[in-house]
Amino acid sequence: MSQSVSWELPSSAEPGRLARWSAELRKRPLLAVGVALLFAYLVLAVVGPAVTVDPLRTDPANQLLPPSAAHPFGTDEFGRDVFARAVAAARLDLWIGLVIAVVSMVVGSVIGVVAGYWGGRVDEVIMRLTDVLLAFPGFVLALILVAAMGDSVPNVIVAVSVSFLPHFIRLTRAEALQQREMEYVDGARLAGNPPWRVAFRHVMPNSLGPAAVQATLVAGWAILTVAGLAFLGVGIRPPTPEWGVMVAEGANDVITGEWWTALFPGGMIVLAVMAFHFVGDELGGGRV
Amino acid sequence: MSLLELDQVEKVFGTGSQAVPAVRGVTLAVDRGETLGLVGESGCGKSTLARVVVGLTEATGGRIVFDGEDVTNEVGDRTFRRKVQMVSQHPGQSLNPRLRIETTLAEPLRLLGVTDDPSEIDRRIDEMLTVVGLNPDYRRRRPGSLSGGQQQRVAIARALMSEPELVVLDEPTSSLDQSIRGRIVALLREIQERRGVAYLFISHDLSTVRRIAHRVAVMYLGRIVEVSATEAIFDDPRHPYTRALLSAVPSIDVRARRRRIVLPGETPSPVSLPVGCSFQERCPLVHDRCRREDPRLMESADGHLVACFAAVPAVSG
Repeated sequence: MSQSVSWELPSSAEPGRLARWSAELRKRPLLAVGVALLFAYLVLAVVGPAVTVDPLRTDPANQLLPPSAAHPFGTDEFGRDVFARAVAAARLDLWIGLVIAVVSMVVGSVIGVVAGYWGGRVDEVIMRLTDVLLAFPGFVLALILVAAMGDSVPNVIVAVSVSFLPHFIRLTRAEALQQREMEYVDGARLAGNPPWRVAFRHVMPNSLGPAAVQATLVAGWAILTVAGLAFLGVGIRPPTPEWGVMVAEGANDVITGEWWTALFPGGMIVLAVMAFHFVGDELGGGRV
Repeated sequence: MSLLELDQVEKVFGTGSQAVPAVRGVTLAVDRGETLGLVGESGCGKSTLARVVVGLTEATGGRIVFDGEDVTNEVGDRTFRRKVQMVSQHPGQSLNPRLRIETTLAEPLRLLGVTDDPSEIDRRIDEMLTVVGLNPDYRRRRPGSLSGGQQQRVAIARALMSEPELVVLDEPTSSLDQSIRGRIVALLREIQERRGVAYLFISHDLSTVRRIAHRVAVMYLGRIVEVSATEAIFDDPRHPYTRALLSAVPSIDVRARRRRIVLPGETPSPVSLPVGCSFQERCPLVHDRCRREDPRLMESADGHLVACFAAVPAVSG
């Protein structure tokens, strides 16, 4: 039986997922660079802290040593190993960046689908509130929120997530507006789906494409925002190993010639943001 | 008693000067187990009527009676949905592209309260795929990996899952290849014979309608202008619009070829309809009364319904 219909099935000889991915990466070098960088960061964040020295251990005898074999990124004014700190910070910063991207995408998309699918007054209210959020520059909004809620990692996550919400609300709303006119929505209604189920089970999964791409970009921006807040002394505080904190602490050393305390964590931020950008841009430019 | 009765059903989109009457007082009945073909040109309100019947669009006037009960205000309810289903024109678009076929087919069972038992749901999905002529292995697929004809079979399967008594088929074959069209029509007839389901078969493809419908209703500008048994419509069309419509059907039988009736002018916009018969400006039989009075559907002795003053039995001969 299965023999007789097999000609209707697509050929099972089509390339596997892995093969298609590697072909795609060869065609798009920026995507490959981004993926490679993210992978390197991931390895660093996962195994790094296990193989480096304690990022919090001070050593008054070895203050502000330049990069060497023993201290690849040198030491800071308390004699802490900058490499150990930068690696420990990778775990925190990447984690926070990803959590913010996911939180703001999920919350923003839910709100966006509600606005786009129900439309009318609901949409009107949501969009005006979104406009209010958009009236503040994202960074300033996050700054105000953290200042109001108090310094802590969860508060930073909430504040920065809120500042990125409008992106996701607008993207998903626009997509949901198109999707709700599709015939499969009628099909879902006829199959007995109540309105909330049509919206979240049918329309939402089909409206997440642009938001998913945006989330990749937002993960990068979120790292930058969190580090920026920390640089200003808001949110994450010293002595926590965090890139923004490290740049802030090392800023003065640059003037006196000890460039490594600020430059290495700064470089880590730049590369991380770039990596997310390459991946997000390439995914967005390709097939959303 | 008919399964479905529409009584002066109206659907007006918009209000005031922007109002577009898409369906203007349609009175129509579908009997148990029969296929009523609904034909008319694009924009005549066929699809709007279909959406009103299945409750996707709310009627702005008239009554809908199903199985003897007035369901005008309940057409979106679960119990009604279970009994009245629809298959739409674009099979590819009517299925959620992200869901596996089995998920799509399980929805009506669970959500319309047929059964919650997973093994029973499994059994019914396999059974229904077999009924519509697909290998049960297809249940794990997503719509994108199916052909148009296969997608339409899945859409038909979904519509049948809740064992409805009426299925509205809105141009179910018009986006399919000619060869597949025939097979889908054959499948629909076979399902009707086995299950006794009634069809409201909407199409502008007259030759397909002729093959599947027991009776045919002709719609023009939101109104039914003629209803009769399929053979009566095709052999003895009485409304001048029906005659013109039928004359446009290509035929390979030279003897059967009719003289092509070409109607003058365009279909008027439903926004600004003339007083009297809405067909008056294009009608070869128009006379004074048509410009004053809008003809209602009138039944002749043989049960043929026609909304035309000029087509009373004496004229039709």
